[in-house]
Amino acid sequence: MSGISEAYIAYAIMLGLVIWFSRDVMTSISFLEMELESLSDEQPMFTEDE
Amino acid sequence: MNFRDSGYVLTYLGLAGIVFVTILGLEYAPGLKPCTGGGCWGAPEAYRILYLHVPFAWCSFLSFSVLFYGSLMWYLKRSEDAWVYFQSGSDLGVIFGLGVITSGPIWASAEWGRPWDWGDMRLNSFALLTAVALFLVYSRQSQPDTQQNRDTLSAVGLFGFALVPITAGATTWWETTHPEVLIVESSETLGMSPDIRSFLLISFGLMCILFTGLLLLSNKRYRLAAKVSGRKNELDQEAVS
Repeated sequence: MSGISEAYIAYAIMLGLVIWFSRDVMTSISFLEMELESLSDEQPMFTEDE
Repeated sequence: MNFRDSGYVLTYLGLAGIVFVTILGLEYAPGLKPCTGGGCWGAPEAYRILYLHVPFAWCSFLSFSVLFYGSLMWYLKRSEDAWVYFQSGSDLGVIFGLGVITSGPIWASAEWGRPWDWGDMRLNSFALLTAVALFLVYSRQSQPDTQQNRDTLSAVGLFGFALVPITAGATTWWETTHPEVLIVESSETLGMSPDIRSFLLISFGLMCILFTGLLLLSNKRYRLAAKVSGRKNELDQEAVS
């Protein structure tokens, strides 16, 4: 057995990890940017006592 | 575009570089001699894993260094920016650490016939290092974000960093089954040509670009998260007052 199939599996795992993490970070950033933008426009919600 | 925003460019560039390394590593990289003066390889093609495994391992040490910096700075300054580095370092430590401890056993299964050697100092200390990073990530996510918890987790991050020199020097200080540092220094007895060394260094260079991009993006994410949390607190206080 030469081990080439093991090499393909290992590369797939390592590539998958960095691609998944990059995608996760970028998605979080765009979500947080949208949330921050909506919060900047938001006015505080007053309670009924006031 | 300022330096912090260059994270996107560096990440895309690094990802393209890693795909390039994958294609070259699997298809075009120089091969090993199946048998040399030092003996025969069990699975000579499986060595191709090392073109990505070794740069992953070096980048994981960089991640743990970022974690150490974040932990130390948190203790010294108690600043939000230090905590940002702590969070990014632990995240990146998990990603690169997991890459190493999954690809390593795949290579070992092919070459040694067993995935793990419980008596090998480098393997076990590296696994422990990754476990520390994993613990920090899960603790951060599951525990309330208070100063006391940050102090505790930073202490773990500081002490966990002690495993980095132990792991890096393990093959030199103790007799291990893990290949020695010599694997980077080309040696005819190991069947390694200078081409392999050059290819490993190119791969590491590209991985460093990806690492820098991911670090910048991760820092941006945690700075934004801190801003969102701060703004929510402001709104709550305004509503109460």
